[in-house]
Amino acid sequence: MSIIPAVAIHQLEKSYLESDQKHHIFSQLNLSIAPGEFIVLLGRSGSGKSTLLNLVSGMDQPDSGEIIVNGINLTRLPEHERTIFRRHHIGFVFQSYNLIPTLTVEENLLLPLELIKRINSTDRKKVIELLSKLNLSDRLDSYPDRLSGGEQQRVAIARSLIHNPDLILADEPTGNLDLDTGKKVLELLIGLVEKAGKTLIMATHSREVIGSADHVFSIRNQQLLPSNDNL
Amino acid sequence: MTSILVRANRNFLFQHPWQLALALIGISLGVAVVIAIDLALESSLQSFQQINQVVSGKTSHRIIARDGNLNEKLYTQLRVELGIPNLAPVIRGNIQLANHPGEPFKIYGIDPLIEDTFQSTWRLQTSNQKSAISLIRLVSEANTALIAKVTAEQLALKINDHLAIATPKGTLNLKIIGFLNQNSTISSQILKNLMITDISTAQEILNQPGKLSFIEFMSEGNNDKRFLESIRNHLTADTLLITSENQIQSMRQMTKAFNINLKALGMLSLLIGMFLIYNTMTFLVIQRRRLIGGLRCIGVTRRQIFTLIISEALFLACIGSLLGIFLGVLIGNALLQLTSTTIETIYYQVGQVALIISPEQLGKGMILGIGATIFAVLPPAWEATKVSPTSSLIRSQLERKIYKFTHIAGILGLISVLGGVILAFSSEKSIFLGLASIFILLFGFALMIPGLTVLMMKLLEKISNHFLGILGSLPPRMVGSEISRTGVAIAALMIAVSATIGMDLMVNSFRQTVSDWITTSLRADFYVSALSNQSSTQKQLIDQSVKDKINALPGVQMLSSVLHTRIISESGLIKASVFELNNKSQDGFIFKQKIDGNLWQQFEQRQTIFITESFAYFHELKVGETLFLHTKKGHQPFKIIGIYSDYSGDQGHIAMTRKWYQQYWKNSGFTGIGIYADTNANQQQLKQNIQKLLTPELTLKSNQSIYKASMEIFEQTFVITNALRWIAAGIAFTGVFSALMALQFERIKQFGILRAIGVTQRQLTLLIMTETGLIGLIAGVCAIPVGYFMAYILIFIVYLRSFGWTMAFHFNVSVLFQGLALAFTAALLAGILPAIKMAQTKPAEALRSE
Repeated sequence: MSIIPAVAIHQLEKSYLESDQKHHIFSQLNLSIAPGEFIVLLGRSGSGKSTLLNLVSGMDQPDSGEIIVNGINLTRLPEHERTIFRRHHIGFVFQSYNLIPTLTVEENLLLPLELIKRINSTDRKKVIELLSKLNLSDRLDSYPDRLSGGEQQRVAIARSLIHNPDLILADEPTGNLDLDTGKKVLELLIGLVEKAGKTLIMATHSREVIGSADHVFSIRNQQLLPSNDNL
Repeated sequence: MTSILVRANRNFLFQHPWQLALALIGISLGVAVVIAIDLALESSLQSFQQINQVVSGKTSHRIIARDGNLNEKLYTQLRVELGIPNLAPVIRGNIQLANHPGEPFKIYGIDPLIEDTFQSTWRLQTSNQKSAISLIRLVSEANTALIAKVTAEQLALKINDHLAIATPKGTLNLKIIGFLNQNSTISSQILKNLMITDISTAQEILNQPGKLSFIEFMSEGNNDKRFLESIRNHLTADTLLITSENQIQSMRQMTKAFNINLKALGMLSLLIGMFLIYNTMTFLVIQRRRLIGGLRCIGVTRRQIFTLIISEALFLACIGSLLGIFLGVLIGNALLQLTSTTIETIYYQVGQVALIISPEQLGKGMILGIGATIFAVLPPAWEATKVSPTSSLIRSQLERKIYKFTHIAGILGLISVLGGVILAFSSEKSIFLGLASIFILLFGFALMIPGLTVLMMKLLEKISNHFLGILGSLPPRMVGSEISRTGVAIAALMIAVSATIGMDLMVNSFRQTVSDWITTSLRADFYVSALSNQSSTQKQLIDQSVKDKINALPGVQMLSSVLHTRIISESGLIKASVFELNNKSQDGFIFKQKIDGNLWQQFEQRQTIFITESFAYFHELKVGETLFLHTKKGHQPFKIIGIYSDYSGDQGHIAMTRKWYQQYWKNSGFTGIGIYADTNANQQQLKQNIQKLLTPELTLKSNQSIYKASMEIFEQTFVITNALRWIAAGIAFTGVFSALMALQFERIKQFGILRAIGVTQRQLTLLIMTETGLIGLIAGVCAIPVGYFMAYILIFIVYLRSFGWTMAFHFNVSVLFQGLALAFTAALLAGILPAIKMAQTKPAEALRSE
């Protein structure tokens, strides 16, 4: 019995229109990621790392080609279905944290759960446990703008994991953090994802993570190429 | 300031064109409404003056009769016997063209040979040789007339063509012997549908032989003092010499309340417009905190930032005010007919009206627009200078500061409300201060809105969190946590809706009071009255013989009668109602004081009068005081024994019995006769029998049809008020729309995050719509007590001071619900577009935006 890849991309084409000019991002791009693998995407700014993550999450649609996540072809799903799929199966970590400013730390974590089901006391316990693992148990009732960058990113990591998704997408999660904090955040993220046995795709500039990754790809000339740490 | 600095700022504005447009709409609509009202009101008054200029020219005095009909013998006496120069007799009236029955037309009969001193427009315009011949022909040839060229073109008439006029004696053909050449658009409108003939032709057409409407007099200085004295000595008790200035003053005085109330409505629009400007400018400043912070980082001073914001506002104010003036002229043109119709219904004959635009009025519009904009932009401009280079990037700091400000604003608001209430009750008779108190109250309540919103949203957040979860609690959180944006929008909407509720409650109370008054007053089964005489500005009167015949009809139990006339008192010409009353009609009087048993006996048998409450208010008279009236037997004292309700006019009148009137003034017939049928009389048969006795000039109406017609007039007087109210609501809607658009576009990234974690398009739309709905609900809920307050002040303070009327407050729950629904619907409608736009934005795109 063959294993269903966590992510499979076939013949992906993506372009943007900029001042009436078509700007190609990907051309005939293919990729297959096995469940539990940790993939690192390298590339210059504007090379399309974030676009690829957006496509894999179903937030964006390709011009052509297929994106299959957990055996579901996202390119064939209507917008609403893709949102529901994302809600259940994908966790996102952004460079600029992107927490909801009007919600407390606890509520930011409970929201993805609430979108899936009715929240109960077990969920609240789960939030507290996860936050204590991230050394944030004392910031439960704080609003995001009261937290430091490192703290905010740790909350964002917790949010991406809280609903137990199959796939975690991290878009330059240390881009806004200093070196030390960034390192700690990465360790936490990779540790938690590995422990939970989730698939992780991370777009980053950070060389530190390369050693932990199962595969490292670089986006060049609209293609995804295996990288030899040559940023 | 460097050009690059200006460009950095300007580019930001041009990158937000819809915000720019909404700011301009706010300024221009506010200015437009004020300008429009000013132009319409002033034009109505000035048109009247201009017609006088056309007909009589420059005059200093006017001799008038109390009943509107002067005997022409007085003119002959003054001119020939006393040798008084510079006298111009005029007879005027309405006529009907035989071939265009619906077309309103006015006739002025003048003496073409009066002195040049008058400089009347028609005389100036016909001063060339050819025209001089026309003037001579006007006197020498019978049935000749001058009309404006524009009218001639409209009726396809040439010189020497005939124009058929419908007169009481049949059709009369008038030969057009010359044109009144208008020299401007204004005079062309003023002269339109106006005809000038000589006195005798006009008298014949109007069927008023030997009568004049008034005599104008041009006093040239101290030498004329003796002439004035001679004129006064020759005047009877029924005639009066007034100065032209006094006449205009008294017209201004008459329409003062109407003017102030309409202008207040215009100012309300400007106030709401100011909220819109404040809102937009605040948004523009807040959104540029990053830019401002960046500029401060590179060394731009606070003063430079302040100047930058103020000059930007000045630029917008100039463009907006110019647009407003242009729009104001257009709206003014539309309002002109409405205002002149209302003035004509309630106060005096306006005649043809034209929009008269003066540079002063336009300048006033510019100053108002610029002043209001600068005033509204001062707080955000000041706020912009407070942006420190480091704090500029932290948005939450601003919200926290504003959150603290809500407490201060709440206290200031409370002080304003108390100040408004004190001003309302302590400003004695001033209409202006009464209305100012409403504005202070509104401003005070508006200041309390942010604090109240935060409180309400906290409560709602707890409730919704409990029942609807985190997502459900987001809308109240978003409203409360971004009070710097939502607060102003809610306040603007609250003001507009409270104005609607206040006005509705006031109009409803007024309507109910008037309805009760008419129902009480109309005691008879039928009323005979004279139709407005088409060929005169005066109403024709009913003869005694008609009354006698009606009285003799079988089935008639009794009659009552009234004569509406004018009497000269110590304070000038006043209106009087002369009654013949019976037991039933006496019950139609609603007295404002406790009456004793022999009141009616005193009224009938002693030299006494009743006065209406508005007459009492404006002349500061009380029961027990005495009013002196000019009679043929000299000045006679009439004791005031009662004050009664009357809503037929806002200047008020006196009431006396026919017995006492006949003792001092000539018998003049009746304006109306009330017919009381026997209890077992066949009313249909009686109606037919009465109808047979009436000439075509007389009309028979049941009390129900009089009630209906009266209520129609009532509604008509509020048409303009309603129009202005809706304009104010429209501006508020624009404000909410602008605020919501800005708010939602600013939150685009937040919505992107929600979409990224799995919130669907539908959920997002619902979220945004719930938030906008909440904004509407808060505005609506707060508008209810404010509107109620406003109605109270309008009814018991402003309207009492304006018209001297007291009204009962008729509470109407449906008005409150309508107000709530209006606020909710307006906010929901304003939220639709931003909600759709946000929901349709791709999450990936939304996440990319800042």
